Amino acid sequence: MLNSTVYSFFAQERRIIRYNKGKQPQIKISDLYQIPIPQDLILMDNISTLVDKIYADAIHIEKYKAKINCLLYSYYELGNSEVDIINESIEAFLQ
Amino acid sequence: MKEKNIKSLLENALVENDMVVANPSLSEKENRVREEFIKLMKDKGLETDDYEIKTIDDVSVFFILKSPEKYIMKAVYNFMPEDNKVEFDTILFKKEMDETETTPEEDSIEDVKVDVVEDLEEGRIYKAVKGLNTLTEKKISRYLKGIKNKKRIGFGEKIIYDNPKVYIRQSAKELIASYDDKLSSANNSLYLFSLRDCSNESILFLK
Repeated sequence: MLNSTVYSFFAQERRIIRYNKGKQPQIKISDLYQIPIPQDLILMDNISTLVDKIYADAIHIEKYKAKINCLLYSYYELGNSEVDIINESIEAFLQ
Repeated sequence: MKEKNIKSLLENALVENDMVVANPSLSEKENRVREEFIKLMKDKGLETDDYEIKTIDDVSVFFILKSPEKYIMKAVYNFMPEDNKVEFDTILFKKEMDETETTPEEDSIEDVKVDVVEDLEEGRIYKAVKGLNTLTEKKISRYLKGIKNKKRIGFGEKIIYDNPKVYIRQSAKELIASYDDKLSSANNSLYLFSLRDCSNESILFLK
């Protein structure tokens, strides 16, 4: 779940991932506790199943990661435009 | 020193110190003292990861850390490799081991008799030595000075080693995490999160 785009976006925007150009990005462990982890059992179960598939089937990792992202978009009720903003923001951050 | 005194000495150390340093360097030649030390450790349920043996010149230095209170007791034995006997001089150290640690200056070293080990006070460094030369003493002192920043590789807490956990990279532009339900540990470049059990709820949460 932490590898999902939603959580990377959250971590980048909340400066949980601290990055200044030319420097090594840093994550402080105390900041990690800001990350909210959903307690919805159905969501957790679905993601858990996909995580198992990722570890069992390395060839299709991207497919399962996309499914986890979709589950989280749905859970947080994010529309297409919001998902686009997230993806663009992450792309910009990575450059 | 008589062998039974060595045993007594080590027993005293072990009573006061129930934890430990990693990084055993047992590849060097073992002698009776080492064997005795290792046997006593084993009798106490301590494995080779639980202590450290360092050779400085001809002096074997045995380190046993007391983790919760952060005290360290060090028994140093200057053994005689050529005849492999346990008749050697002895030094005992006990000093505070925390971030404010400073290496005791030479003038704080006091001569005491070995048989008063139970009277050691924290924060002091003692010696009862006849045979060690100044150079060796200085080397040991230098080693002690550096030990607080010494890189250690260990297994960390066993409960975390045993149970499912998530590793998180410390330095990356994205969150990069990896779930692991096997017996594993990592060095300090990864954060490690565990709920310290292997219940289904914990596994779901970690994934």
